[in-house]
Amino acid sequence: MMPPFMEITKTLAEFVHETRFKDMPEPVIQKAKECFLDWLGVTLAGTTDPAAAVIIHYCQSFGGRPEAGIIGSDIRTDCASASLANGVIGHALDFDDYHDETVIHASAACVPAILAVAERNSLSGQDLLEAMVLGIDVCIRIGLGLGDYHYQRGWHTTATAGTFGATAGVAKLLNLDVGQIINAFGICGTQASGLRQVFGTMCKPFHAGKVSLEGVMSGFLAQGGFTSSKSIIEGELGLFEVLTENANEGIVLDRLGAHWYVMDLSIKPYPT
Amino acid sequence: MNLLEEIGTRLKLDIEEVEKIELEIGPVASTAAAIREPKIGVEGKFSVWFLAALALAEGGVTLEKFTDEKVNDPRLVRLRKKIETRLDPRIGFGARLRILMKDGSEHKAFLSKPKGDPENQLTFNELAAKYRNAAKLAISKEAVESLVKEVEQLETVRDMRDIVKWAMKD
Repeated sequence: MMPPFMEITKTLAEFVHETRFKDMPEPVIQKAKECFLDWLGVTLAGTTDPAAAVIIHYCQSFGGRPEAGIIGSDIRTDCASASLANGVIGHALDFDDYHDETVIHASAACVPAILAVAERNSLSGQDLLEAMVLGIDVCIRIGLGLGDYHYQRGWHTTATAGTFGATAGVAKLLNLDVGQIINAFGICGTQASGLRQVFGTMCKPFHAGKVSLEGVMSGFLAQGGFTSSKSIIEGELGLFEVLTENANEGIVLDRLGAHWYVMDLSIKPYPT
Repeated sequence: MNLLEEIGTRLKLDIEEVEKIELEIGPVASTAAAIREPKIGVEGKFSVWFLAALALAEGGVTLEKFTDEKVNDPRLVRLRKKIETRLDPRIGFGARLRILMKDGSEHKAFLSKPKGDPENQLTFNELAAKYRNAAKLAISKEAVESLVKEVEQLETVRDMRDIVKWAMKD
């Protein structure tokens, strides 16, 4: 039996803070590598989509100092802009991995922010894999908690839950403490949005870009001392109360650290 | 799509001889790919009818096929109009298929887990083939292959900048 009020936000923050690469079984790391390779491929191909030209032009116009690359281009920009561009481009073809039950495109949501920060801070492949496994785990757990109603009602879970994955990954790379990670979740959680009305337009992949941007912004703001709610997921006016009905709180923390949701991702053989 | 590709390739059906196709799909395909009459290439990705017709008729659903010409191809338009879909909430990402031919014969097939599902995984070679076909659209062959090697041993890479440099244009 779960307690009547679970500190979901805090428990997930502790999980992200405490879990290390060495805690992750070899098949989990192998699957993360496969998802990363797949993400690289679909993002490189995504540069041929018309959305890529628009978002790259936007980032060239407004981007800052050259910290991170836009995949498939010769452009380096600030890591928030790079994560936005790589997020859009990585999901532009809808050819990237997804989680069956929640329909979250997990790598599309998590990898761009993690890669941009890893590149900016000269972090290792091990750091990237650790952050990726944690980010994917967090966003799918939250997506499961939001339940079927959330997606059927019109929310795009890649956006609404994905923002927590990108943020968790960035928080790990920045080595935030538990309090900072809770704030980072609060900062990204209050931005959680994304409507299925836009499917079939450039705004579907925009959702992957915006959650990547939110992940970078939330992580760095929290690191700088920006504050937010301590219970953005389970709070009275939090994610589970506002964006769904009958949230499944118990499933979010079930087998935390024992079942790794990256293992449940499907890799698309078809670009649909 | 696996199911229709496999049937199309194996039976080499004359699609003009198809009378009707009944396709049972899950809730996500029903809602996320619900464009009945795609008019532009990108809409084809979100049309279960176009995707099914393409898979059966051409045996390969690949990136270069989501063009305005392809979604308006009269042969594929005729075929997709013969496809009736029905929602089966229990079927997930699987599919159940029944093809009725004009001569009265029929073909049936069922797939519980599509290719790429954790229970029907792509092999590493299949994944690498998908990656290579996609990556070559943007970077050199040398860079494509270097990334495969680097990612296979990603946990030993000391600086992710060494990976990103291969994924960018010179």
